[in-house]
Amino acid sequence: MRSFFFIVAFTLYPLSSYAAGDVFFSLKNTNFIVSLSFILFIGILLYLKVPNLLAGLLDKRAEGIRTELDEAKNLREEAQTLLATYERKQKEISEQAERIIKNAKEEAKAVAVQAQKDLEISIERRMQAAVEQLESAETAAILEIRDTAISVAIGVAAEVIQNHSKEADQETFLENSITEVSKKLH
Amino acid sequence: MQIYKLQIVLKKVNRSSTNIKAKATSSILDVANEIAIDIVAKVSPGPIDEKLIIKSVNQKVTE
Repeated sequence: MRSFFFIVAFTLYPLSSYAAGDVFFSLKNTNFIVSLSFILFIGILLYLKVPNLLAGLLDKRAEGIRTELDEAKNLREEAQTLLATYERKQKEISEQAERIIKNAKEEAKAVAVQAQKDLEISIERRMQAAVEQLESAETAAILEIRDTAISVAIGVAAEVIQNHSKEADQETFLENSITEVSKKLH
Repeated sequence: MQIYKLQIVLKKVNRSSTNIKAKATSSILDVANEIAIDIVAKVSPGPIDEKLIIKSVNQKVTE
């Protein structure tokens, strides 16, 4: 309403310029016609409630913008909540992965230690078996050496005696030899 | 480490088996010579030919 008074005041301002004697309210006066047209235009606008319509449209527009802002705010809050959720999940998964890696390392270490122990035990057993086998082989070899030596010695002695003695004494010599060998063995 | 030690021991065993065989042959010769000479000396009335006995023993062992 205030703006309307301002408009009217500015429209009637030219009247002052005609106070000196010129006729303002005349159809030949262009300023008067323009002023009148303008007042009529404003009046039509007011009659058709154009300002109210414009205000309604602006209010509607403002309401829409406010709604969009609220939606955007809600979306932002939801996004922040989701982000926080995913960050928490990521942290949990990272911790879980670290735990899994740590457990796997510990298990691998334990398995390696166990394998080392098993290997040492296996080697120890094999060494023991080898030592026993060697002892057994040594005993068998000593016996074999002794038997071979005795048989060779008896054979050679028999040959030598047979070649260098009379036929009658040969049997006696051989018996004596066998007795002697038996004594040596026992 | 243990396996490496075991491999070294096995190599040594393989290497020394040849020496053991030679030592065994030498022992057989020594003992057989001693026994044969002893037997012949005890049962034979005459003098003994040790060289012949040792030669025969060597021959028998190498057969």
